[in-house]
Amino acid sequence: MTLRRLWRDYRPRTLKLTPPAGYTLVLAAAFVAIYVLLIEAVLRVPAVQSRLPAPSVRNQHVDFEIKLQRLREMGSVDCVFLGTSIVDRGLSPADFEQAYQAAAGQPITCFNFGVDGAGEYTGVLLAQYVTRVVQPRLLVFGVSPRLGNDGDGGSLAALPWLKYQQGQFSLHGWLAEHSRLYGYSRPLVNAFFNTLSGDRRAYLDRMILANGFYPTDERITFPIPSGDRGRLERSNYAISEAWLSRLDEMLAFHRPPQTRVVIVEMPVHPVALEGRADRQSDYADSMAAIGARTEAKGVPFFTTNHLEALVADENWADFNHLNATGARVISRWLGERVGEAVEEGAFGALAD
Amino acid sequence: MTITSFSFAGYVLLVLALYYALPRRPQNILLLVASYTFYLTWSWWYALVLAILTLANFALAGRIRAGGTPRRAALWAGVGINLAALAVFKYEDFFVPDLLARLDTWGVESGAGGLSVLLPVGMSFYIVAVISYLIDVYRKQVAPATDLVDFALYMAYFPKLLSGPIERARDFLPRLAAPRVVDNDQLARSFTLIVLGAVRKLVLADTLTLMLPRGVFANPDQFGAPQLIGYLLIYALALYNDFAGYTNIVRGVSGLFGIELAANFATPYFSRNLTEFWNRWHITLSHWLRDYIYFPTSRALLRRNPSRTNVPNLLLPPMLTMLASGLWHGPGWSMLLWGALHGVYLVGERLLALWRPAGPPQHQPRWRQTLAMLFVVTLVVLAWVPFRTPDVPRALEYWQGMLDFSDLRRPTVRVFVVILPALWLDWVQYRRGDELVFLRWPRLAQAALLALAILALFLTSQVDTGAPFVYQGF
Amino acid sequence: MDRTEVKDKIRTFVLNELIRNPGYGLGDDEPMITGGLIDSFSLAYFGVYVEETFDIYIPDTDLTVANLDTLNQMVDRVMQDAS
Repeated sequence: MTLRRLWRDYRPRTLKLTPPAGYTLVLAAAFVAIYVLLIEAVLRVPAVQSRLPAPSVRNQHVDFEIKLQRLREMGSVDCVFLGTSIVDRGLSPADFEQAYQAAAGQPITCFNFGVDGAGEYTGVLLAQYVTRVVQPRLLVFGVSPRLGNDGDGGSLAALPWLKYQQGQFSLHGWLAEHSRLYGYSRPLVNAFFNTLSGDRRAYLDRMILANGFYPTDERITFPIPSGDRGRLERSNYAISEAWLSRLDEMLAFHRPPQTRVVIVEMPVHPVALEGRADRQSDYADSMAAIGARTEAKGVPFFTTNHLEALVADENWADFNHLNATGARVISRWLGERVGEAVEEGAFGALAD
Repeated sequence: MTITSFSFAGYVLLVLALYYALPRRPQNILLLVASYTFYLTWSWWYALVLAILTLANFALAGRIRAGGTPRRAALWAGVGINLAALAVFKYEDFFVPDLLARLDTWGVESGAGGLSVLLPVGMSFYIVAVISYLIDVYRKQVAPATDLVDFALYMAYFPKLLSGPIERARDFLPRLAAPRVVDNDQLARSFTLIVLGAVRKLVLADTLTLMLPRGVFANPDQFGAPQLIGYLLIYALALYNDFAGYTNIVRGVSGLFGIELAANFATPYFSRNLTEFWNRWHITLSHWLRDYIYFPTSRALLRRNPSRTNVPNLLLPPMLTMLASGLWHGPGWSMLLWGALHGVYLVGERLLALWRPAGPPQHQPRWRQTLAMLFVVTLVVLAWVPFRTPDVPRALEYWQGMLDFSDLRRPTVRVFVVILPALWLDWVQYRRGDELVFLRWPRLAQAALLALAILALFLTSQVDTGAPFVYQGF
Repeated sequence: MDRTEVKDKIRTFVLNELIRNPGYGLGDDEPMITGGLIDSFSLAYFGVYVEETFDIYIPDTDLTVANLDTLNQMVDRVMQDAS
């Protein structure tokens, strides 16, 4: 009796829904599906697609998304340059190809997949992707011991799209790969509203060439600007074990005759090592350590800091980035070295 | 936790799930706990200030009811404590530096150079609400709350805690005591309000704000007249949709709990005179100002001199009311200028009315109504300048710049992609005089529009508002 | 004072002082404020008028559109206190 009374007095009675409830919501969901399908269809029309910017795979590296688009447009490539911004702006595929052809007597197609600010591990992550998707014969990893402490790959390592490529399913990964609405909405919306990221995307879209190279005409200035000076002061050229293990991962892609790996030292401006004996010795030790690892695996390691042609200030955007002029010098030099190696039979054929 | 975050949505759903499983009495306790938990996600300090003020006002209201001579003293003490709290937190920046400088000149070492008190978010709103409660108790228009839980909930109810609406205790407390029902209709109304609010805030206001160049109000001298005029209109629409959107969302959320919150906006830019505008813009604050500042001053003056044409009678009530509104919105001379400007508008309107017999605006020809609307919107929009600029000189510079057509750059026409839907939304609501007009549409049309809203919300969620990734120095 | 007398007095006040158009044909249930005929701020005048004419105090918070939109509502409010 008391329980019944308690129930009568205190039973919850706020929510009183009568069926059918939520019918409009179900209808709206159907409408959403219709709109999405329509948009997906429109975004797949070639005439529309050719006018669209590079789709986004939802990460902060806009240049990476643009390069991904460029790579897809190229279809097949023989060699891919991998690394961070020092490769992005420092290795020119066209100059490499030219020098290579002159030395080896056969053409080659290259693509620059260096990503700005993404950490050394980026090269490894993207090597996994390109070896599966475009199967290049040659992977060129551009490295600098200054990056010794930046080995985690930044946000790219956690990118659902990249994980999806490696077989780890996630909704975001699936959408980034298969949905045009998901891919194009972000670049289109940001371009429409002229947001900072929209403007940056538009700028990079103009600057990055079809072969992935991002030539810059910036020129190093003295005295070094305060921001760069801070980075320069913090630079540490002692190589870490973590970095060396990244190097091992790069070297693991060396599986001739299908895939060959080349490691190339991306040089620093002399000012970076000036006046600090410990830095110079750290740098030399790091180079020796890289040399020992690569030699053990039979992978060619090209050092470049001795190149007289690179010393002049006109080659440099800042203390550790080459500009387009410097990129031409080093790319030609490297193309020639690799071409010679092929010509001498030290390498197998790198192109069909 | 912000109102438009997923975490807030999740929090509301969690509280709702518990709420629906409880009878009424524990429901209020749950809401109180949920409100304080919500406030704690902002700052424990805010919650502490609110709790102390709640207890103080609860006790004071009891004293005011007790009768005898201390009644008036208790009222003044209550109003004083609340205003002092507001002054300490809100206006400290306005007058403390001045005060410290003066102390300094007198050779007094204040030691308060680093004094910086954070204004508890929502304080301006709950303070004016509780002042109205004390006055109403004094006037015996509402019985003092006997239930501390209900009273604390009146102060802290989380849907209205951050930015109102400013509820009167005599309306709100009975709602807390009443049984509440959330049926299909109530759910549909609440859901519609939430969607409308989200669209206003996220799709319209946020994108319009995005289209305002940085520094347009801080450095108006760098822009030409077409830009200054265009950006001011964009700001006016953004400001309205931002606040109206917020209010819609919290009213919708509160509706899910079966508790109605007052409407705060009713298509204000369609007003045909300034008085109508203030009955359509931030309605709960306007009515508060009317009831606790305008009417008392008006009546006091009229008692002394019952003539309508008496200058103080015409001048003082609107000016005082609007100056108080300016001061409430924020410390600083530019806010006072905004208030003064609206005071002048209202005085002007009253002066005109002295010579022209009044008539219902809707009885006037359509063209006259439209002209009146345009005139009112122009005045209101012009007044937003000091509301937004950091100081008075910049406001003057902005107005001046609006007349300088030597630079003919203009805002991008893309802005119409947002402005047109914003105007359409208001037009539809205004024409039917019903903010929930969409619920009268055929179900298919409702669903099609809701799906469009969802799509628009998705698209605007893709805007990168933060700084993009820029070169990090590898 | 009976209702008719109160209504006549209030009507005269509204037409002369608030609407300021003595010839206006005001209906007993015509919404004056929501109809835009007078603004809600005119209610302050009405409040003082009622105080002085009928010796009845209407609190400020009762001077609302909901309570006093029509002539009949105004009369009701006065009659409520007069009784």
